[in-house]
Amino acid sequence: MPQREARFTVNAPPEELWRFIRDFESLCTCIPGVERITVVDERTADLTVREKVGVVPLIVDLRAQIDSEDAPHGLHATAKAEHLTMAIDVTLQANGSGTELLALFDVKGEGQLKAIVDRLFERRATERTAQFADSLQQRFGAAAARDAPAQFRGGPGAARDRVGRITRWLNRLWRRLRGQFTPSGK
Amino acid sequence: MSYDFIIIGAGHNGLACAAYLAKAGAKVLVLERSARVGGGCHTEEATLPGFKHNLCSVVHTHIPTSPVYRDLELERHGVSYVYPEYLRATIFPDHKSIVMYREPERMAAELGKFSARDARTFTQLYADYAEFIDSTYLPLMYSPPLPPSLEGAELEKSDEGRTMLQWRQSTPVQLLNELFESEAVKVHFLTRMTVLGFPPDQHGQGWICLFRILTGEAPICVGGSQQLAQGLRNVVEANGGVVRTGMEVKRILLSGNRAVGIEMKDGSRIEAAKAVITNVEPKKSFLRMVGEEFLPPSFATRVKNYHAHGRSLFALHLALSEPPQYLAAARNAPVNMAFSQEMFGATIQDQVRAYQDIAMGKPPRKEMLQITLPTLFDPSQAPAGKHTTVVWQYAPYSVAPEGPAGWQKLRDEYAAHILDLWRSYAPNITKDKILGMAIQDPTDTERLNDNFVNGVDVVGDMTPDQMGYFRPFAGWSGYRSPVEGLYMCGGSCHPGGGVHAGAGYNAAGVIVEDHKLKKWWD
Repeated sequence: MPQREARFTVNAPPEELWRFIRDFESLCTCIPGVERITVVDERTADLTVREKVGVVPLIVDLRAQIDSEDAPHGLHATAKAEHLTMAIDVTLQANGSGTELLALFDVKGEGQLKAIVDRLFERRATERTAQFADSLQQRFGAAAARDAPAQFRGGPGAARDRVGRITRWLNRLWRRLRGQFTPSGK
Repeated sequence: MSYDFIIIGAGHNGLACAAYLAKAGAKVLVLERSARVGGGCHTEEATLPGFKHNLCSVVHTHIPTSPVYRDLELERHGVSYVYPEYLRATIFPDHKSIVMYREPERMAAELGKFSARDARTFTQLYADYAEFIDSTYLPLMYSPPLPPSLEGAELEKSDEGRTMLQWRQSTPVQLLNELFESEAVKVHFLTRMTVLGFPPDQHGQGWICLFRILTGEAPICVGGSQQLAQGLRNVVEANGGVVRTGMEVKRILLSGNRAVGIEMKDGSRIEAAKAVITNVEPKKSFLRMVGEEFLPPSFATRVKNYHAHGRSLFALHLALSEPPQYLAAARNAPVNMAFSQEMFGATIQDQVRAYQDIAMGKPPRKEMLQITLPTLFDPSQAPAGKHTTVVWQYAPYSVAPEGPAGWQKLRDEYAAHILDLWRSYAPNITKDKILGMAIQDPTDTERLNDNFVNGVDVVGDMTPDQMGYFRPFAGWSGYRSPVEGLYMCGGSCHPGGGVHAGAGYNAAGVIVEDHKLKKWWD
């Protein structure tokens, strides 16, 4: 199952970044290839994404759904199309004057086009993830390079970062638990 | 005696399928009629001691980049490849030539010697379609075939996709005439098709032609083609599987509509607890080993109509004291160092006419020649300083008017004629340079391999009605058969003949899914 991870810092507080990524229409301005978006409800949107393979475009209709969220710390979303499912985990963390965004994309090709979807994601995901990071950093301004140069992981030949994923999952769980047991109002 | 799976036929697809199943924890038995494993991966000292000749496959284009090579860790099991720097050389009767390069810039420069416009066209094609080919064609070799409706549905969505659909329906000659202006360039690319046995004027081959224009690789298995089969066998046995040669299966045993084992020629029986998997071509598998009376009539009809009538090859295996020196190399030095030299006349019509002659049972008198010299790249295949070469000429299996038996009368004269044709391009190959020669006419090819019916070395014609979703039959291209517990895994299944192990790999995927085994490789 192809995976990619992006970690970068933008020059905005977590709440501002959260409002942006939580709004499907604004978020999609930063996702490469999105041609059309129809918001279905607060947690669901239908997207049409065009990905060119050489000169030939592949046009994919997806339904994106936020499965769980912990404002303004993170969310888990799923995007499903006929031949693929993409799990997306986003975590926001205050970092100096900005916010570090960690996004983990996990794509699973399905059915008869599985081989093509997996191959295509392997080829394109690093580039598209970098474009996503670049768009957000352009919009909000990147934090100083010394703090947070964008980092991308995964891809052909990359060792799976199981320990890192478990650590991140524990961090998310910890934040959720902390959120449940910490009086609101901060 | 009982196994989970019995695989009939230890060609590379059968062995690959067995290796995946054995690594999934199944108890696997592979039975091979002949004394050796490998099927078309067949290396033998056919002329003189120490000269290893590859009697069928010489190059394994897709194996080193396939999931099979990676998943089964074939390199650890003794399989390795060398890559010639120069891929192929098309040599024309006037001794001009086109050398094929992997790098698109070098390839375009080579084509530019004949036509600047064609060089630009190639560059544009590469930019437009190379990634598409890499992202779709190759992955689809290693997955069950898509129904045509699904392929069409995805491509119908855009102008560019519709252009591809149009190209797919065209003949190679039509596509090349649409794309290129230089006759030499067209001949070069048409040769890329016809060397694989794809007829030049057959509709529905356009995509493959595009693929062959844009990609080319020539990995040579160190030690000979047989080494791949040996490596696969090593994986099977390292994982508890059993491979037995000299074991001829006579029948597939049924209980109701379920395959439950096999009966050997000597009458002994072996039980298959989960399934029988056949790597043998459809007619022998279903009509002879199962029996028509046990098949749905519509399926039996499809089996009977599975065809192998395309071109075969007349091969000369030579032990040489020195490599050929081509006249063309005076103007284009890499010609002598390319993986193969291909001499297919001056015009695309020469190739069209050769195929028409073959269809009429007339062995072409003009050169339709492909020469490979593996020892240039892997010296282990011959004694030090010496070489082996294979000379292939397109030829019919059945020679008019006698039929296949006609080769007995014709073969020596035809061999001498082919050598003369070759010498007109490489005059240094005089009789004294040929240390030994073995003639392999199309009837020998069939005798060497049960699956090469009528000497067709791709296990049944690779025509649009027998490719992809239609291979071997529409509705049965998913490696299953109408007999429960009987699967197909050979070159008669998608992605077809040739050494890539795609059918064995894909069949293993279907079988582990059906039998709820661990799909350890995905």
